[in-house]
Amino acid sequence: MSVGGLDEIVMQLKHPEDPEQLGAFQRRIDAGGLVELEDWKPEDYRLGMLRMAEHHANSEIVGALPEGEWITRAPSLRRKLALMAKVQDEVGHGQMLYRVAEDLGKPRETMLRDLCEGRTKYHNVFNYPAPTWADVCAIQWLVDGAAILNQKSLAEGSFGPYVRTMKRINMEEAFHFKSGEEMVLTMMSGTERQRAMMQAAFDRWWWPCLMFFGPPDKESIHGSLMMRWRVKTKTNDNLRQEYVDRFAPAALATGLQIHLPGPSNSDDPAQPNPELVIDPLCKPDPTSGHWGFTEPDWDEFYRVIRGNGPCNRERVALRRFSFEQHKWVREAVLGYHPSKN
Amino acid sequence: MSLSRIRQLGGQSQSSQPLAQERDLAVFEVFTQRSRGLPHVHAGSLQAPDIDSAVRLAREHYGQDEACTHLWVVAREHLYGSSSEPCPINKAIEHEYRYARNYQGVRTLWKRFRNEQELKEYEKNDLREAY
Ligand SMILES: [Fe+2]
Ligand SMILES: [Fe+2]
Repeated sequence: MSVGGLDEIVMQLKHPEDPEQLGAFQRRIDAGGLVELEDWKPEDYRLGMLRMAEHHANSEIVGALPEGEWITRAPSLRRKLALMAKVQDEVGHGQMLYRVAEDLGKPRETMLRDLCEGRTKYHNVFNYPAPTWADVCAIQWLVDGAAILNQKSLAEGSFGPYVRTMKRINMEEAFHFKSGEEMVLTMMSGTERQRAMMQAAFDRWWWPCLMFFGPPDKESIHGSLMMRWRVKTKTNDNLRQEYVDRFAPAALATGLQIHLPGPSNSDDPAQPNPELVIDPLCKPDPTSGHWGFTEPDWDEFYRVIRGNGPCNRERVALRRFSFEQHKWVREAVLGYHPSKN
Repeated sequence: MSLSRIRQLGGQSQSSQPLAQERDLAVFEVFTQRSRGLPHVHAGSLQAPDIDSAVRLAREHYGQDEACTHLWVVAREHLYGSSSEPCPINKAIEHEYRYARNYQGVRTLWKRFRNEQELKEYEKNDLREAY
């Protein structure tokens, strides 16, 4: 953390604030207190928190898309019901988070429009394809696992309405995660073909999941002030390390292999690419006990953020389609006033 | 009608001046927050002539009985509840798959791959409160 005293905070502010109010605000945060909607807050805090809640809401909504595609093709009725419930939960998380963001001052309609028009972002991880059922299994274990780790840390944050929303959301994430574990373990206890399919999906999702926590701390532009205000409570690198420590040994135990990044098998997405090599760094450090990993391909990360990932266009197009398709519902709810037309 | 107006009316001795009738008062529901960050929880209700008096009364009655940091007051007529009849759809479909606690079998599956100690280590990061 590079921001320490009040002077340093003041230097980082884009919107100047009254030092006395700023000091009182900081003391409350430092004492572990929460900030409520009606409390005075620095403009930079409001904007940072809004940006975070909106990005999170967008991610929940877009995150439902890759899995939603699989509802009609789920392999059993039980899986279909659970997947429908899971996708419905994610959209519900988006709704709750848009409320939090709205209260911070940005109208919902603008947020939805900004998302459709590419002015705002969502988690990069949802720009990757899910070509097989095993991808659904991998998403629920690995992506929901990453989301839980992140959201557990956000539940320790400072903005009351967001913190309470995180706690509610996490209860549902626990179901997504257990269901994901059950599916991955079922696949890995299955036939050779099922295990191969799971490996191919794991290869597709492992690296996007490591990138899920964001760029290395040294490159992260929003880091320190947000940490100082407990908008974030753990750094990207800390979260990533915790993730690898939990998931790398678990994946290896099921018989999965952790490969270096590389393309999918172009003939058959249900078969791993035989040319992928094992990540040589993925083993526990004998002294610290922490698991190593090769640095993700950050060039790819920035390429995807800029809109050039494998599915960016498709995801945003589908979101825009639903937004336009459901315009009449919004209008019907708001009431049709012929006098105003 | 404001509180002072009621007092004024109440103070009149002439029988020609009607006392404030109960129908002039509305019922307000009170929600208190025990400490910062916790959700507001329903505490009870009170009668008052208007919202300002309701907040004042709520502060006195509910805010002093038990220490609380904040309260919300809502006119009962503005509260809408669901019907208490059980929803037939919820009855017809089992939703057991919606709850993490119903995935106890996952542990058995893990045991095929990991020993008890490894499994315990891995489970440390589970959201235990959800089970
Ligand atoms: Fe979610
Ligand atoms: Fe989830």
